[in-house]
Amino acid sequence: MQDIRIKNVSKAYGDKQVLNHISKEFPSGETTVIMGASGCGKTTLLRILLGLEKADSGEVTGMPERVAVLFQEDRLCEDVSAYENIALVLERKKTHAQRDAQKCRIEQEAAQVGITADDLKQNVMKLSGGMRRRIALLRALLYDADCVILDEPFKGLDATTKQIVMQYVKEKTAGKTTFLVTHDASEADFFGGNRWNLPTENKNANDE
Amino acid sequence: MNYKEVLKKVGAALLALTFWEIAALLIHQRILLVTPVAVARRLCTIWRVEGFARAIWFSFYHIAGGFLLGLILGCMLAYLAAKHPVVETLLWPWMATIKSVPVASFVVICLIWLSARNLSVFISFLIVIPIIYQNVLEGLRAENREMQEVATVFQLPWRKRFRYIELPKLRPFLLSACRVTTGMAWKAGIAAEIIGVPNGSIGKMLYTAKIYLDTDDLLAWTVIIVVISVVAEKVFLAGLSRLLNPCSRFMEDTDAGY
Repeated sequence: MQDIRIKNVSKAYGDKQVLNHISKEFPSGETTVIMGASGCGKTTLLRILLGLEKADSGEVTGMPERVAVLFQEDRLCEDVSAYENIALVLERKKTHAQRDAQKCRIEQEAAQVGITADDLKQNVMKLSGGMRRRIALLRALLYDADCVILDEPFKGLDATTKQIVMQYVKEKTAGKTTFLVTHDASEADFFGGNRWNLPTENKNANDE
Repeated sequence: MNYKEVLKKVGAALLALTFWEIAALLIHQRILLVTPVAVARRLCTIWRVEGFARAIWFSFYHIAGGFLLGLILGCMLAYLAAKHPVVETLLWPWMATIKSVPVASFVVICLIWLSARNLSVFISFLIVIPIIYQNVLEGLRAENREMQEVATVFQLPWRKRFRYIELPKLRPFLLSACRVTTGMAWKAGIAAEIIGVPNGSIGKMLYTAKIYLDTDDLLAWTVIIVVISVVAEKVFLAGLSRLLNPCSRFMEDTDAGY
């Protein structure tokens, strides 16, 4: 797996320049914590990495084919169970034995972030905000991907749950190229790795 | 609907029936207006009329057939129009004409081309298709960018995209179109039968009642039409709603462990 590079990436929405000639290299298999003030372009940068947004100029290289993402919003399918929301992104299992194994795996993983088997059966809209966030997080972390992008993953979690979930995320993303956006310095300290402060003005912000 | 609301509605219906009874008693002309009691009495005996069940079955399958044809073709055309804007442009004059031309005109025109027996199929089809087409097209075009992005990033196969992302978006549009058109199909279908007078249809029964100025029969058949139309609508919508529900067993996905 190669390193991911962004070179001279710029993006503007109308008159507002969001990213201005950003260049950076992200080592393969490492976690990069992206910080910066609101509106400085963190989410835009992630969207460009995901290929959901086109940069006005510059290029992104080295993005793997399979990328898992936790968006800033939960983006869960309404009217279906929490379980189905997670299973949605997993490979379709053909036999009963495979499906049972998958069910067992999802239950075990969910239990690690405080989601019970009963919670998984619930319609996702009936769950609390914190639970929905964890379901969205599980969906991203159980997806078989080489790169993980997490946009404010611990939003809406209480202090105790947050500690448990942060530990879980750290374990699950070990060895994967991970981008984690946060405003919280303590979260950044917990994940260590590379910390990148995206400048507010974004004027000729280059590799630090 | 809670208990109090049901009581209120039943009360309002009883009040309306009382007004009807009083008006009929005041007019005192069976030809002009019969009492609801007389209609109820006739309803208890009308099933003995020769060809009663056959008339109901005839009208039911013709109108339901036209409705289903309109539903299927409307959905297919909407899908094509959503994918290829040129289809929408080509269909525009047809849909606009069907929507704006009065049903009676269509019935008379169609009588030249079609046999009276099949007229109600075609008329209910014509009533249903533009509404289904328009609603489904709107549903297909409704923005759900966020979930589309989820599908793109996680590379979901088309089956999952359809079931979890497209269908929930489309469901309210399709259900609302069907809710409107089931009743309309019945009204238009029966109107077509009254003009075409095919043998063994409810329309023929109504026409005969009109000829003989048999108001009891006329209103009794009207009540039967309303009951069949409402029951058919409720049953069909309940089935469709269940069919389109992502949690439905009809849609069961082998990935779903729960």
